[in-house]
Amino acid sequence: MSEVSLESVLFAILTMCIVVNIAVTIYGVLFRPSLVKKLIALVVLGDSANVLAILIGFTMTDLRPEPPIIDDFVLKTSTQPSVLFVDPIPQALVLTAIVIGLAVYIVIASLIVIAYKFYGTTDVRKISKLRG
Amino acid sequence: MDFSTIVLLVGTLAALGSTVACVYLIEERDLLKAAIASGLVSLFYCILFLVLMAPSILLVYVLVSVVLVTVLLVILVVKTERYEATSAERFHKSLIKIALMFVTIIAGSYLALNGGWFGESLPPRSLRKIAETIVDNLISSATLSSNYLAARSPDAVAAVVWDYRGIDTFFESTILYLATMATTFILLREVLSQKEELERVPIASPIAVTVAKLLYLVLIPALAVALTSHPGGGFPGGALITSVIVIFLIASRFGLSTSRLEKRILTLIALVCCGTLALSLISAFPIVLGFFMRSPAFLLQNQPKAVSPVGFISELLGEPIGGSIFFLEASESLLVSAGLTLVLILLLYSSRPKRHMEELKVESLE
Repeated sequence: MSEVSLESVLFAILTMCIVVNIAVTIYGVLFRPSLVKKLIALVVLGDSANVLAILIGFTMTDLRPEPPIIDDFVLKTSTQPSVLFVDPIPQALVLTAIVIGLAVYIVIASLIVIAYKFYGTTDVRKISKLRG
Repeated sequence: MDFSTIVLLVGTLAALGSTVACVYLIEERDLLKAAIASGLVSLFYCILFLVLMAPSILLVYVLVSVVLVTVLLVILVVKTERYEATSAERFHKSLIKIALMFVTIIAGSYLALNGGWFGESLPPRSLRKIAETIVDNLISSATLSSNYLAARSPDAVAAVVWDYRGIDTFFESTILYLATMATTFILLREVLSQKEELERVPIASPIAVTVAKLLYLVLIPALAVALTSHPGGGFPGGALITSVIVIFLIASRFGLSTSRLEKRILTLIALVCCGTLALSLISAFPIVLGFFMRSPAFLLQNQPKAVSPVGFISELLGEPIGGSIFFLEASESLLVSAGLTLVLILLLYSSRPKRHMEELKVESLE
């Protein structure tokens, strides 16, 4: 460890918070009885994973980073813009992940609506008893 | 304390807030409150995206996660049960809880200590070369002798999504198309079977409908977002159009008259298919062009390459649009807006719990 600055401590807390969110939502997906609560936890789990991906892309820069968009200001100040930017690859990954995530949540939601119509409940324990 | 430290402090506070909201939404038994708390978590994550320099993500995320997903969850709670039953505490559950806690502490501290601020960074520095190659070749070719890597787009994220990694994004759009169609097949019969019942639902007053129609003015900036990509693009543009339509439907208390519902659904299905077809045609266009120019060409080719002179126009009215990226973003916005509107309309108009309970009573009496 070279030096411990205020920024590095803040960043460590930020990372820790996201990891805690992921753990809490995994618990929600696994152990909560209601299907709707499971879906809500799954939504937040996906979002937290996306934030973690962006976080890792952000930490890889040395200087104070800029968003990866080339405008006139960037073109004037630097001939090699890459040293200024955060990593665009995790951002591109997350961009599509968000919309695909929404599509998947909608399919799950429609299945929950149909399950409720058939069984009259969204509690997984009751549903498994009804089938057995 | 300089400016960047204050920005990071705001981000850390937002992360702490998101953790509090996250624990609250898992523990809360009222599912409506939990759904709104998930919107709150998304709002905190928006601040994080701003701090982490991701404006392209922020534009999509604020519409999809804060507006559309929250609306989806609230609709789901209204359509099903509002309260969650209590869950019994068992031994194996608490064991897995403790295991989860340990994994969290170990993984979290490993990530936090190797995040690039205490010394070693977690993804090795050599990986950064990929990002540097992409960013340096976006517009100018000053650093290289040839310009065959240029995407001619000012936004690195749009260039990665639609040019350098285009086939991946194409198949992700196909997933969106398939999810839309699957939901339609699941819910369509359900919605159309209760058309007569929906006609008895009182529609909001004409004044409310007119005020809600003012929302359609937002469609103009939505189109602007969909057609520019620095930042912007098909995903946020389409999500903005969907948000406007869904908020209009809710504000005007289902202002869409049910007699025209069937026709609207068919139109939306046709638009989804058109969007997907346009994506495929634009992807295959360079090959057709190459056939007539008698030169090799590639699927989803954007700019001319070393072996192939085929390419899309890179500038429109003096602005860099990124060749095929512009056209792909436009078709993607059509696919996203029509698809998401279709499935949210189907969910909005699907059956209500009251009717279900009455049916159950009749069945048990019989």
